[in-house]
Amino acid sequence: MAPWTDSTPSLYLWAGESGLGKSTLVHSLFLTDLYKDRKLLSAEERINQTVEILKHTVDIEEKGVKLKLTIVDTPGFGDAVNNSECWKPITDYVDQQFEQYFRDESGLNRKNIQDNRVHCCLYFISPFGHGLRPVDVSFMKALHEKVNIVPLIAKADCLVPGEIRKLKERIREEIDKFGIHVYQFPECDSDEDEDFKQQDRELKESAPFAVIGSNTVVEAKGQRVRGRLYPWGIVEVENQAHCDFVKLRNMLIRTHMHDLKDVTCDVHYENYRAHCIQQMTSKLTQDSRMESPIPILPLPTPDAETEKLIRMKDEELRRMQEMLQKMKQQMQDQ
Amino acid sequence: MRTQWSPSAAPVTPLSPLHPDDRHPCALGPMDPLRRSPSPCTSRPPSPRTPPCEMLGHVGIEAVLEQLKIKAMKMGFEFNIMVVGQSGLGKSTMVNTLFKSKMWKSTLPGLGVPMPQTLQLQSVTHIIEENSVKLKLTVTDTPGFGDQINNDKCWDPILGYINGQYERYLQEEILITRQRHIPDTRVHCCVYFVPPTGHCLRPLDIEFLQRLCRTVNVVPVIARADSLTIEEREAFRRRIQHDLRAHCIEVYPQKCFDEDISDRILNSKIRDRIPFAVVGADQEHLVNGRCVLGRKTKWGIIEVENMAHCEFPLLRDLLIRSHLQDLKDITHNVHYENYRVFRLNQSHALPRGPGWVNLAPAPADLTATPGPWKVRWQAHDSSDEEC
Repeated sequence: MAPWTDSTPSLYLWAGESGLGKSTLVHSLFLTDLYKDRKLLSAEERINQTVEILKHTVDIEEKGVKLKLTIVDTPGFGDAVNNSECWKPITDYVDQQFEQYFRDESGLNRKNIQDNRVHCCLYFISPFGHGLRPVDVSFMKALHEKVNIVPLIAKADCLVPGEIRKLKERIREEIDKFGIHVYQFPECDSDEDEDFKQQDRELKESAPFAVIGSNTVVEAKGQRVRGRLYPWGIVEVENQAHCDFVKLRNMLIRTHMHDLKDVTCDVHYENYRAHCIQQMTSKLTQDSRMESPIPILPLPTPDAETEKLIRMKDEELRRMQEMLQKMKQQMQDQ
Repeated sequence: MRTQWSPSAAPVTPLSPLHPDDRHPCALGPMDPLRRSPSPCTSRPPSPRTPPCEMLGHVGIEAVLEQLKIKAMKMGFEFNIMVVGQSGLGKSTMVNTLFKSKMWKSTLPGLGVPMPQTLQLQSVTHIIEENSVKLKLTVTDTPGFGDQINNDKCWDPILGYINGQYERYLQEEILITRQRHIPDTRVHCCVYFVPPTGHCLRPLDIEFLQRLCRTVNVVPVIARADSLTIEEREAFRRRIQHDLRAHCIEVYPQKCFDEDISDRILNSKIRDRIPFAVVGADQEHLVNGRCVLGRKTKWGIIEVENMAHCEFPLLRDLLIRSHLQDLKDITHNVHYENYRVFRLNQSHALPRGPGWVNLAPAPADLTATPGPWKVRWQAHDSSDEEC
C-alpha cells in the first residue's frame, strides 16, 4: 500500500466543455483567481485547438491550517466539431502520474517521492441537456477505473428546483445504466452523532451536486455575499437553498479530502500497479526468458550518480559475502 | 416603414423576365441586391417612361389595400420555421412561447429511448387563428443536432431538407398546368440556438452558420439566457457579432437587402441586438397580481415578456409582428431563386416561353448549396432538352 503523507497536496482534475463555469467555480471554492490573465480564445483559434493540460498550485489557509492544492485544468475538452477520443490526453495524463509514482516506488530512493497522482476528477455536466451526453458517458467510462469521479451539474442557476431534482434523478439513473463507477461517499461509523449522520445522508442524497460559481460580491439583504446579480433576483452561492456549493466545498476540503486520497492510493493506484505488473509478466513469458521468477522491473536508465551508487553497493555486497565465506570456513575449521 | 400588406402579399409574383442588357445572372453573387425584384413603385426618381401624374380628385386607389386584405384573409398565410440547436436548449419551449400554444409537448425522451444516432427532422403543422386571420404554421425540429461525439457533417440532413423543399416547389412551378396556389413548404426562417457559454461561437456553430446563411434566412439567438447576467450577455453578444463578421456570416436581416433608408434604420437597430438573448417558458405565474409566462426560481421569477429580463419580445416581434412577410419575400426572391438558377443550369437549360423543361433528376445529395458559380452560361438551349 503506497501511503500518502500529510504534506501531499491534493490534486484535483477539472474537466468539462468550455463555458460551463469551471474557472469561476475554482475561484469561488479556493478564493483565488488563477485565470486573471487568461485570454479567451476567439472562434478562429478554437477551430484548431486540441485538449491541453494545465497545472496550477493553490495555497489556501483556513483557521490557521494551511493546505496545498493542485488544480489541473483541461481547456479544449469537448469543444471541437469532432470530439472522438478527446479524453485521451486526460487519460494519458492520469496514467503518466501513476507510472511516474510506480517507477519512483520501485526505485532506490523512496524517502522523497513526489506524489502527483490525481486524487479526484470533477466532471462538469451541462445543465442544458436532458441528462448525460454521449461525450460525458465516454469520458467517465474511460476514467472511472483510474480516478475518483465526482460529477457536478454546472451553472445550476438556470434551472428551477423541479428541473434540478429531475435532472439529478436522471443522471443517477443513467450512471447506473451505463455502469459508471463514480466516487461513493464512505459510510459513516455507527458511533457518530446524529447531526453528522444527518449531514452525511444529505450529502449522499444531493449527489450529483448542482453548483453555481461567482467571482463577484453583491449586496443582498444588507449583507455582502458572493453571488450573481440578475434583474429578477440575486443568487447567493453560499446559500444552501440556492445550490450545493457549500456541500461541495465541505466535501473537497473539509470532510472527504483524506478519503479521496485513500481511495486513489488503495484502489486506483493498486489497480494500475497490478495491471502493469501483469502486463510485464505476460510480456516476459512471451519473450520466454526463464531466468528469474521475480519480474524484472523496467527501471529508468540510471544516471551517472545512481550508477556509481549501485557500483559501490555491489562492491560492499561482494566484500560482505567474502567475509561471510571466511567466517564460515573459520567455523568449519574449528 | 414596413407594413403587413405590402404588394408582394399576393401569391407567387411572376419573375421579371431577363433583359439582354442585364448582367449574366450567374455572375451575380448569391446575395446580390439586384437579385431582388424591385417593387414597381420604389422611391427611384421617375423615368421618362412613367411620369408622375397629378390627380384632380379622389379616385379611391387605397381601396386596393382592402381588396388585398379580403383576399389574404380568405386564403390565409403560410409560415414555415425551423429550429436548430443542441438538445435541452429550449427549442420546443420557445416555439410554444412564440405562438402561445402547445405546438410541441416538451417532454424528456424516455430512458428506454436512446438518443437519436443521426439527425432526424420532425415537422408539425398547425393552423392558428387570431382575429379571423388564419396562419398555417409549420415548425421543423432537429433533435440530435450537435449531440454526438463526432458532429462532423451533422448539418447535411438539414441542408438536404431545405433544398428538398425548394425542389418540391420547383417541380410544381415548372409544370404546364400548375396549381393556382402552390403549397409553400420552403423554410422561411431558421432559428439557431447558441448555447450560453459566455465565451464565443464554437467551431460547430461557425460551420453550421457559414453553410446555412447562403441557403436560408438564419436568426441566431442566445438560448437559456437566464444563466447569464446582463453584463455577461452584452459581452457575449459583442463577441458573437465579431465572430459573425470575421467569418462573413450574414444573418437575417441581411444588410444587402435593405431597400431604402427607412429599412436600413429599422434593420440596423435589429442587427445591433442580434443575437437576442431569449428565455422560453410555458408555465404561468402570478406576479404583482398579473398572470405572466415565466420561470419560478428560489430567487425570483423570470418574466419572459419583460424586456428588462430577456429579449424574447424582440424575437417575437421580428418573426411575427414586423418581418414575417419580409422573411417570406427574401426566401422566395433570393434563396429560392438561387436554387432555381442552380438547378436549371445543372440541366443546361432555361425555360423559354410556355414549354416545360425536362429537368435533370435532382442529385441524391441535395446538400450541395449553390455556391460560387462555375457553370457556363448557354444562351442557346439544345432543342432536344425540350419535350
